Amino acid sequence: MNILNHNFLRQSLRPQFIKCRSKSSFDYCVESVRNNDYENFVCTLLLKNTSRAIAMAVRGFNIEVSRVAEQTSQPSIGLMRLKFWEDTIDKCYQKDIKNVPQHPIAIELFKAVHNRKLTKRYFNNLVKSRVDNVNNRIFKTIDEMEKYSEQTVSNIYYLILEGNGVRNVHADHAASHIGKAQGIVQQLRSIPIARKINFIAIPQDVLTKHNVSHEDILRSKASEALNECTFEVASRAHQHLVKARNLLKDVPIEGRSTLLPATAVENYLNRLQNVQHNPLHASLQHRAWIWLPKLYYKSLKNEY
Amino acid sequence: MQSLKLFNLARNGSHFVRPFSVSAGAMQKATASGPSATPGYVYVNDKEPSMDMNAITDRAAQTLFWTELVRGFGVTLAHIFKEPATINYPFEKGPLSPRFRGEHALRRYPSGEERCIACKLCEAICPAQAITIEAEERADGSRRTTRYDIDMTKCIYCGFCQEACPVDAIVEGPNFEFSTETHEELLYNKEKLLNNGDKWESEIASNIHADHLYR
Repeated sequence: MNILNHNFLRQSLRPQFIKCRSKSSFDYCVESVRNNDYENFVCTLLLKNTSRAIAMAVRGFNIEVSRVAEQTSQPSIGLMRLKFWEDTIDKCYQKDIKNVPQHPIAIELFKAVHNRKLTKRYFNNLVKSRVDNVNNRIFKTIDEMEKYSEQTVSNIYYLILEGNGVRNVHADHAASHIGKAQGIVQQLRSIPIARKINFIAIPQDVLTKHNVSHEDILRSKASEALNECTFEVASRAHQHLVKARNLLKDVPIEGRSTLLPATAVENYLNRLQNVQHNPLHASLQHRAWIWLPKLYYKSLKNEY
Repeated sequence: MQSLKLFNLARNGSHFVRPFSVSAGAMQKATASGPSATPGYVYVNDKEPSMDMNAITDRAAQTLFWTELVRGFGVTLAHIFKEPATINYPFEKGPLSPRFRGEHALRRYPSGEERCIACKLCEAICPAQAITIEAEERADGSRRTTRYDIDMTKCIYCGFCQEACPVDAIVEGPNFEFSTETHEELLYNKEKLLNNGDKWESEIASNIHADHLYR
């Protein structure tokens, strides 16, 4: 009887549930970024109109390709999906929208590409770095990890900067550093769910130096040695953040809002420091609201 | 003759029924005589238990048997008060992993448009070749499937179709109660799969959700 009621309730609630949800491809894109990439979503909201739509499309695309590795169990399946996205990029650069697959994010991407001139190479870099690492379960060195972050995150910033109409060497330079910092932080954040995504976020050379085994990380075993490892990786992210901030004066004012996610990176690094660089600490699993006013203040002051 | 009768009775363990003819004098005589088994006298002291191997084993086995029996009853009694390990199945359901791979469903976008774009990656990856797709262009120019069949009796529930789908259209939902009486009912067509998607959308969506990017 109970189940019947439950089913009935679900059936009666469902149409409403769908109705209150968004309809257009842009709304879908926004929803996807909000659900999967909250901090960048908030930062993207602070951009101006056209560049915001482009940034959403680029971030939505990044979500699709970045989740391939964790969604697939076999490298060949991951490669198939990435090939689909590679083809989609090619089709987006053609004139005819009919050739673009009817995926909301692909359609948004088509609009973005035709709205402002975006460099195709950056998109291809995004896909290629995922293809190269689809089977990767650990980075050998911290430099390799940094390079991966540069490819997967900095390229997004180059695209968003272009969408913002900023083509400036210094802006790209700062974006490169912020991308590296953010990429490294993203990976540190995955330490508590290492087993779920089958990925060890600390490079092998750092692990060897501090004598931490893969098993300890997969079993989420907190230890002083693990904290040391995290400290070493986090300080690399911090260096990049400081370098990016030193370039602030050279970055054109209209490009600075693009680089706002630096605030989120700083926020995470500070919280990590407060818990003695223990990446498994429970307080790091929650969203902190305190950086939102900070972010707004930064955006008012035209900083990042 | 009378004292012999008394001896027999004592051996039978009846202490209450005694022939009235037993005199107090005869009793005194018996206690005073000591352990020597003089015929006609009764030995009333504690008997030493027999210490040969057979007897010891017997006694030990008997003790063990009785203790085990009592302990067994104890366990039974304890289980009466314990919460049952089983559930009342059709009315109560056990927990399911969010990654559970059950009955297939084709999802739609929130706008109501079907997700599948007929890329045929699921058909290509399916190790059991259970999926058949036919596609053609619609009037509005978008490429869609005209036929999407899954033979649920061929399917091995490996989940590769779900992993291969670039638009998250085909998923293996949380439903595992779809047994039928005939084979034909398990040959799912597109309509059935889309209906499944509509029915289970909220559960499927909540299983897919993640908080932020990790890689």
